[in-house]
Amino acid sequence: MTVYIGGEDFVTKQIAKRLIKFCIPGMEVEFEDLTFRAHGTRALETLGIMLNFAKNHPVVCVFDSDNHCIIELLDKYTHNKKNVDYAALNFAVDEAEAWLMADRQGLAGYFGISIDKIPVKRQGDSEISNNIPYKTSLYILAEIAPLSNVASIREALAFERPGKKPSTYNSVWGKYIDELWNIDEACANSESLTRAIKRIKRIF
Amino acid sequence: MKFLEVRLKNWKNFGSANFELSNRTFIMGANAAGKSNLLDVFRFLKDVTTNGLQKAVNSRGGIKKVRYLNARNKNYIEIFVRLADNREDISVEWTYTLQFNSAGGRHENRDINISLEKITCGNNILCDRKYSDGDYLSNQFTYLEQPAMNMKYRALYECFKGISYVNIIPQLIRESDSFIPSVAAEDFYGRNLLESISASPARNRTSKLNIINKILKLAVPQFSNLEYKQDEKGRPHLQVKYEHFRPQGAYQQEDQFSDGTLRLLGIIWAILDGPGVLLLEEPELYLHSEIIKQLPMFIANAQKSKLVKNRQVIISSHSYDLIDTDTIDLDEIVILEPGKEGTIIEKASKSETARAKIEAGYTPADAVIPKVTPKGILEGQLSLFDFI
Repeated sequence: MTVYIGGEDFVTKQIAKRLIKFCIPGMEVEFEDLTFRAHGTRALETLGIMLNFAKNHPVVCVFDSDNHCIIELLDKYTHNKKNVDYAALNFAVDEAEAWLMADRQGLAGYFGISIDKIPVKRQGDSEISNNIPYKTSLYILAEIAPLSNVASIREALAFERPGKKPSTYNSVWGKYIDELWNIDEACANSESLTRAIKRIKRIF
Repeated sequence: MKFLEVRLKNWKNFGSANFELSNRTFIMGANAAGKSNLLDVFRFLKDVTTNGLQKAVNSRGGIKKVRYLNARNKNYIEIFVRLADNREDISVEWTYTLQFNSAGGRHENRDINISLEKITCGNNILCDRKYSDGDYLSNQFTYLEQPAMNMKYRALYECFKGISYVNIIPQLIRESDSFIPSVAAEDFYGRNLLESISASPARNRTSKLNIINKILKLAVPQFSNLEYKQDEKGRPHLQVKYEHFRPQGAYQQEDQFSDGTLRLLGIIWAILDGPGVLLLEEPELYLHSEIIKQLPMFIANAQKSKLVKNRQVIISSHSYDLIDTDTIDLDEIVILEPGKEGTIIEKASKSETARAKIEAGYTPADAVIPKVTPKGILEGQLSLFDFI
């Protein structure tokens, strides 16, 4: 079966693929990219076309909400939620990296740091990322990556310009998402990820 | 004449392949998928008519280099082409079948034996020959390549002979030492571009250079007044005026043109220098993405003009930009997908997914490029991080 992936960057697309494999274990799945040349907001702007395509094909899209109102985003990019029911459409709370960080033990192991350095979910809160003062990706770059005892991770995630993701940022995440990210662990720390998995399971 | 269909057996990386062509055909595939090998079918047919079958095979490194690696029991090579001859309101279909194999023996440059050669025009069979035990030598020459034999199908001979392949390498145009003063030499890489321009009748040349000048004025900042010149030794040159802060500007010759300028100039000249079938190998190289996007429209316009008389253009590419327009039909795109049993050729319009993507609002580029992108690249694996 071919599943069509929409996302705004490498990380969101890799997460979508891993979630599909997690939701339908044992099934032979091929992936095809629907946001091949569009990135970030430009990819989001193609949401209407993706949803048209999703009428007859399985499509999974993962986008960052970037702290915008989800309802407004849907209205803006799907022409008042037209066709939304066709796809498993999920906006990761804040950023997709928040789902990656939700597996605290996995991320700590990959970065070679103590689990204490990864923020915890506050009592009664829905996400770890709510306990972070700024965007998750920025937090990882500024607070976690410099502590890593893996030199290649430290180098790949070192700021090249203040506040801007380094050009090697994406390269770090492929292996972690594919092989090390424990989704069950992550779900325990992220209600939005749990909801996303439920939605994906519903379309297969 | 234009090609309508090609069927191949054991040709290079195609075990068995069959595809139809349009007047403007885009052959899309990943690196090493076989785009050049597919274009080489047409170049081979041209070689057969100009140099003969033996040389056509030997110049490609012999039968072992031409034959599909996994060829099994039936290891002959077969090329079948179907063509349309549209003259005024009469349309006739031609077919040409050529089947050949090694003659065997211990020689390094083994001879090639023809096991089948068949030519039809409409319902008439003009040639139908099989391997003959009687005359060993006659099995080595196609009837098509022999002027004494090909009178009935001279039109087909002329069509194959008129095929031109263009893969301009700007450095070879610019490098004066590489200039080959011979019209007989085949000009694949643009070395003879200047000579080809020089050989054109003066009025025809001026008319084409005027068109190229107008296009280059749009595409190349400060470019104007493209002119054909000959130096004191009679060698042809192209000269342009580059406009700058001085009112008279500065004159430059082709050795000072940029790679992109030379490439675009060569491609446009090739398109306008009709009327035979034109093979363009990855025309996107060296060109700005906006220019690449507009090349298909330029080709379509040229095909409608009287200048090139509706010539067929077959383009190999892996450029997203080249087909990122809704003015290209999926029927015009041929997709190459490598597999264990050789590369598979499929028209993009036969892919249900590609059609659905077009209906959803995607461009042909979005519909086709993911299909011809190596899986590893789609997975984001081209990252040094994972390898060191």
